[in-house]
Amino acid sequence: MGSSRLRGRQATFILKAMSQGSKVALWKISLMSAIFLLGASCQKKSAAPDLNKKLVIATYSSLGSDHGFLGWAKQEFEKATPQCQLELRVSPGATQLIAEIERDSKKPTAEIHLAIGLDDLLYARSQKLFHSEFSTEAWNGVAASLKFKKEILKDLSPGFLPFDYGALTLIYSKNAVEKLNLKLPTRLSDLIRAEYGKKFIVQDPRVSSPGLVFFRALGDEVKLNELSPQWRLLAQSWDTSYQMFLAGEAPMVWSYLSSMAYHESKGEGAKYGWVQLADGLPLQREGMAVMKSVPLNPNELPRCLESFLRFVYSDAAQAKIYEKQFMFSVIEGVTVPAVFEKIEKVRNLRALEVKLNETDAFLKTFAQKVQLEQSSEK
Amino acid sequence: MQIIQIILEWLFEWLLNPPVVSLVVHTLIKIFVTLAGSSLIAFILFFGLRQLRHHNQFLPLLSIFWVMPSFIIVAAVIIFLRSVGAENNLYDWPAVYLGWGMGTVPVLVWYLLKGYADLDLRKIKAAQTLGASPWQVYSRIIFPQVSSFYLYGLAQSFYILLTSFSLVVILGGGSPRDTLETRIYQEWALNTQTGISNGSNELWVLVFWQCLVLVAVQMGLVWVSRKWNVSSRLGSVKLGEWIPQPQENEQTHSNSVGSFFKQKVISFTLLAFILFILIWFNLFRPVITSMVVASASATITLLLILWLGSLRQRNWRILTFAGSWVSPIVVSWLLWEVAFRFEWYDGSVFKVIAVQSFLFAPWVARSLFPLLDRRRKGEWGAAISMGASKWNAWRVVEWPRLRGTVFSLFGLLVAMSFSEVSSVIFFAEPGFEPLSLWIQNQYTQFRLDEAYGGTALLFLGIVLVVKWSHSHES
Repeated sequence: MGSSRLRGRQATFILKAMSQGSKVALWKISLMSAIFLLGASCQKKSAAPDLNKKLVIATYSSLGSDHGFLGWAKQEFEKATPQCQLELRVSPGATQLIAEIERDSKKPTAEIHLAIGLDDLLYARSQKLFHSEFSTEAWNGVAASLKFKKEILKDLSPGFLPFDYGALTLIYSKNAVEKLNLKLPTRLSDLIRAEYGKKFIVQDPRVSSPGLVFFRALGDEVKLNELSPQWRLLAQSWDTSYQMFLAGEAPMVWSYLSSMAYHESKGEGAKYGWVQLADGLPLQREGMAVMKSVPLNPNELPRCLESFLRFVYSDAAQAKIYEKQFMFSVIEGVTVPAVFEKIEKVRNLRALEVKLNETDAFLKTFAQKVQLEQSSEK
Repeated sequence: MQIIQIILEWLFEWLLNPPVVSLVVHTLIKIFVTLAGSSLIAFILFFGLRQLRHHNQFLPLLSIFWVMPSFIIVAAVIIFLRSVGAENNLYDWPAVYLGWGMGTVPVLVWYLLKGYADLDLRKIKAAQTLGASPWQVYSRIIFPQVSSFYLYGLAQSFYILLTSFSLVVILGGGSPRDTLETRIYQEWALNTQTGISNGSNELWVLVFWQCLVLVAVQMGLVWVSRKWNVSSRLGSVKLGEWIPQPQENEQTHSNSVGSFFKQKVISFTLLAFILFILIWFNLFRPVITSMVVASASATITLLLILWLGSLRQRNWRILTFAGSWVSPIVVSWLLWEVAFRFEWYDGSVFKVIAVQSFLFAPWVARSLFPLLDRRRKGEWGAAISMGASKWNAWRVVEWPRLRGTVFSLFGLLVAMSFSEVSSVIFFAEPGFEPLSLWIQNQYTQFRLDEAYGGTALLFLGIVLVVKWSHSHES
């Protein structure tokens, strides 16, 4: 009994001693860990990529995917210009692209050099992020040799470098229209007529750029409360709207004119048609813009930037636009694929005026207007 | 006073914003219209079924609707409207009404049948013996008792409709055909993805109104429950009873080999069908994701409630019921906001498990707490005094009587988790897409073949889980 008490006391003493020692050790470990964590948490400032070696491009998913134009361009450009590497930063959509660029511009060292895939409106909305006066001797020399299509240069914002364009209209299924004995509309404002009730699909302007073009083209001609009961669906993406159209959910869909080329390529060109809008097909230009954080020397452009811009405007790249993007080249005289030949000649195009404040106000109040007006109808 | 006045003015301007109030009012109107129509149909069905001798056999069948994913109703509505040539009603409110009705009528009929099953038949016989007419029997005896269950079911259905998400999104065709629940998500999506928000419909205002309406509904539910003691008379929902079990009797005994092969053929066919869908649509990743989330949520919820139930301090229990007082979309959004503020961008699985555990806790608590409180103290004390550890004592004394309920609840929670979209949608990212979200995306992107395939797989998965839990109940 006595020995066990002694052992107990010894054990207690050792434990106390150990606990004191372990307390000190624990304190030391904690202090070192805190220092380590503090050090680790301090973000290392990343150096901006060197524009003579690497070009960082922000774009959206269909353009930047492996099957998209930039996926092809990256491979070809890096082959042709081995000293320059391309890095693609891909966002889900064009509007998310702006959010990504804004985030990058707020970093201590911005990494993105070039944004590709902006349309007129998105460019106007985010113009403060880009070099708006993009004129250097080096670039002027390149640009002077390019033969842009006349419609493309009309009302172009400074600093906006168009690289492809699309025209939008109502694509229809000839079978469905014939079955319904439907007379095709000649203007977008015709869509409020009873005969077009639930006969077309359009995209949500807040999340889809074709949808936004639709409502911008419509302007004040038609009130939302007259139009909203007419659409079959306000699709959240062009992809969804076209899937529904192909599945026969509606005889007409708001889409790109180049959808006709897609159908031609599948041998279905005879089954579909497009509406020749009397006011002209709204034009959607897609372009590039150089970020303000890129240092621009008036005498010369950074090497990789200039090389890439020359590459995008080359005949080979512009010809690839048709295949990869199903859009039109901005340069005259480029080889046009056979499936595009019929629609390439369409030049009754209408450039939409960029009214940024009005458009933003429209988008912000879109849901409540439609909801309130729908409610009052019912 | 001036400060109070300013605050009140600001509150009224903020909360009584016309578009928001309009959305709230129209959501409530749509729900009331649906419930009115569903009630009418439910009563007609109830009277019809009541004439049948074995009307109680419909109860297990109707209990399927407690776990049936809304995608099945969506598919049924789409197929029905196309088949009757009413396609123009798709992606519009008529389709939503139809879907809501299809989900609500069986629930209301279930409550009516439950109420009828709870009747004291001796009272009816006594009244009939004393010469009461059928109308008098109905109006004086049957209706008062059944109506309490009906009101409870109505409040429950109101909650289901108010928090209905996938059905409204798919069948309504998306914005601007929104309810409060879907508009919360829509506003969040616009804010985060495009930076464009509907300036007058601030997210917080929508959340506030959703919570306010839900709390009012839940208080109604509590009032009905307390006034007529409905919830205790309901009993637990036995999910697996609608699964046909082989009958062991003399007639089938001679066919036992035949029935054995029949069972095996059915099982094999089902498994083959499931594999086919998995491979054809490449659904391995979504299915595995769903299984991980569902089993983790169910396990954590059950362990949490078992632990809380074992505590002497019972005040903590009230927290477990918090999940029934908020909408799933609000809980998910709140967690997303917290995670965003603290830059906790990773760990979608853990966030979803946390949300689902919070939402599922009330279901488990209602079933398990009464059981845990009826502890076999005598046997427990005897086991401990004979030297058994607490774990062994719990395993031998408590677990056998809890086992059936725990397995049943596990099956219920897994089935609910499989169908959950609201708790998942905020945390979706390329590497994390459970089956339910995958299916919703197929419907909204109009890939109907994939959507139907995924729906069939989801339902079969739920059936298998319920069957498994039902077989482990006894």
